[in-house]
Amino acid sequence: MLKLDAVTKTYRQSGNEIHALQSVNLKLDDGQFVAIRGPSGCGKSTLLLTAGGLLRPDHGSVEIDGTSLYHVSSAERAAVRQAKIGFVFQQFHLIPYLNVLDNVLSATIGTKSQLAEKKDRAERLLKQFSMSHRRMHRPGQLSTGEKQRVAMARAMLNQPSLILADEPTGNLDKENADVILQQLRALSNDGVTVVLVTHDDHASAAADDVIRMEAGSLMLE
Amino acid sequence: MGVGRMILMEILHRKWNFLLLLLVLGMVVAYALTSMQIIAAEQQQTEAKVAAMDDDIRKTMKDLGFNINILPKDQQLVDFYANDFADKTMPYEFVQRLADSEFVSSLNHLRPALIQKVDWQEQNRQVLMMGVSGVVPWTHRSNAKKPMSDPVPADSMNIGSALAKQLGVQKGQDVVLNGETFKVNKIYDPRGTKDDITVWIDLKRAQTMLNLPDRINLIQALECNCASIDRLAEIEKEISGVLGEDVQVIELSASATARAKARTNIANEGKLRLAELAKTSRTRTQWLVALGAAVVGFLAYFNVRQRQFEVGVLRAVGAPTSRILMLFVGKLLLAGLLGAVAGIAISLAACKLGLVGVEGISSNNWFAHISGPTLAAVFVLTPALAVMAGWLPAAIAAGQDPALILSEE
Repeated sequence: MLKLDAVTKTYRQSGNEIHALQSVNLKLDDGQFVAIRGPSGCGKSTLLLTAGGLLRPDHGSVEIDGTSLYHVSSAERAAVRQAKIGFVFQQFHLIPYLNVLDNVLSATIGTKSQLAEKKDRAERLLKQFSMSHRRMHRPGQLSTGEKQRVAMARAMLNQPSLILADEPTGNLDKENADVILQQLRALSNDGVTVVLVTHDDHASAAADDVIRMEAGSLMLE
Repeated sequence: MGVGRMILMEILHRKWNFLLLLLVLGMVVAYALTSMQIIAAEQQQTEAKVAAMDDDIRKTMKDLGFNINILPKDQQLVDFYANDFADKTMPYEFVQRLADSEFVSSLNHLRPALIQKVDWQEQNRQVLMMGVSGVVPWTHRSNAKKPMSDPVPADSMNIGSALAKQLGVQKGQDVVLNGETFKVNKIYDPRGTKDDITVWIDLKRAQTMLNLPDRINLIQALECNCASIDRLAEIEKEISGVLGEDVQVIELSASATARAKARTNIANEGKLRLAELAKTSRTRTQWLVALGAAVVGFLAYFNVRQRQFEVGVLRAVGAPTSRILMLFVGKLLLAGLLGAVAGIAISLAACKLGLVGVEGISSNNWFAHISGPTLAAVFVLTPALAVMAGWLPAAIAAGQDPALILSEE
């Protein structure tokens, strides 16, 4: 479960204040799949980073499965991110020097337990995304669709309870976008909370609910 | 996912960055180690030169010996050198005490003499008259060696060549010196020294003529055989052990003396050259280390810039700051260790191929000049240098705000 309570984030640039998040309240249950839409600069990415424990809000609290992310230490927050949150980015952000399998396994960095199990799971995920034949290839040898599938597999490796996807289909053709959206849908069906930031009508149609964001505030569409 | 594996994969991916790191660190290590080789070779050469001189001096002393004069203690040397004889005298007994001593081992051929410049009234000229008694035999030593000089018979006189020529005397002829008659026993061949205007007579007769009974003013010790370079001190010690402080010892100019001085000069010049070399090498090494550190720092910073999205993603997937730091520091540590190996290899290769341009340096004696602790220090200090130089960029990378990086896309 994801809960944002009166979350405020303001950027100050050259004397100007930009209210990226204005007292945002959001409560998502397990398995809920929401799409957040809005114009560029309305605070969508800030919302995602704040919800993911990567950007401390000025005010308010963020809770994931009962853990208040910004009331724990940095190391504990990192552990929560690793265990409970999966990120998917528009630019994939695969590590260029690691092969596909190692990229998926990069989500285990810092952990010493269950590595064999994680590797088995990584192999299964790659099979699920039809990427087994590419497991030893580097990101530079993959198509954009394949890259995003690997990024999805990485996000899913630790069986998170929350997936935060920032324009995951923004660079993909319809066919590859569908693969990602179907996967997000499937995750949601399995009880994973999914937050999808998108401009795309097709993508937002895959979600249970669509939330509109404007000038740092959320409005249910 | 292990950090070690990620480090290795990243190194293989960005080979040039790592190779440049290795090259820079390797060059710093190679320069420092090769400088040590040069200094060690210079030191060895200087020591070899000094040792050769020492050996030469010893051989000279052994084969040729050297001569000393034993003079009365109160004799002013300036007068001795000006007059060619000592105006002070000492008892003849001194030479006998030396000959009787078991303590004296470095002296050979003790030859007492009483020398004075006298007016040869009959010839109306001044000559050096030397009363001699030949070599005094050793009491406790073998006297098998052929004496350095024979005594002059009591009724005879030996004459230097120039004097004999001017006086027109011949061997066997009688001559009168201040009322004393002598038979010319020997006329020496020209020697090119004051010997050519000297007359030699029996010591006893000279003592009588000069009214100095049982007195002498010189003991010549010929072909002394000291092994040490500081032989005069050694001889003085032996003589003072027998005669106390009643005499003084001077060394006659000899090739051995010149060699000893040259040896001292070489040793001193070698020390100066080594000190200068060490100073230059130290300064250059310090500059090179600073330059190397700057380049390593730049390469580390460049690497961090290249990998900022990677850092952002790793932070997003839950990698703690310490792991990110380890990714960069681990790479620097590995670069340091391999840089040390590369430096040793470069230094060895430079020595083997003769690129150093200093005599006496080769890869054969490379390890002889570098001690175990020095090698150990290289393997500790090089990674330390790499980590220190790259620490700041690595810390910056680890401390990067992932939100800032990831929102840059």
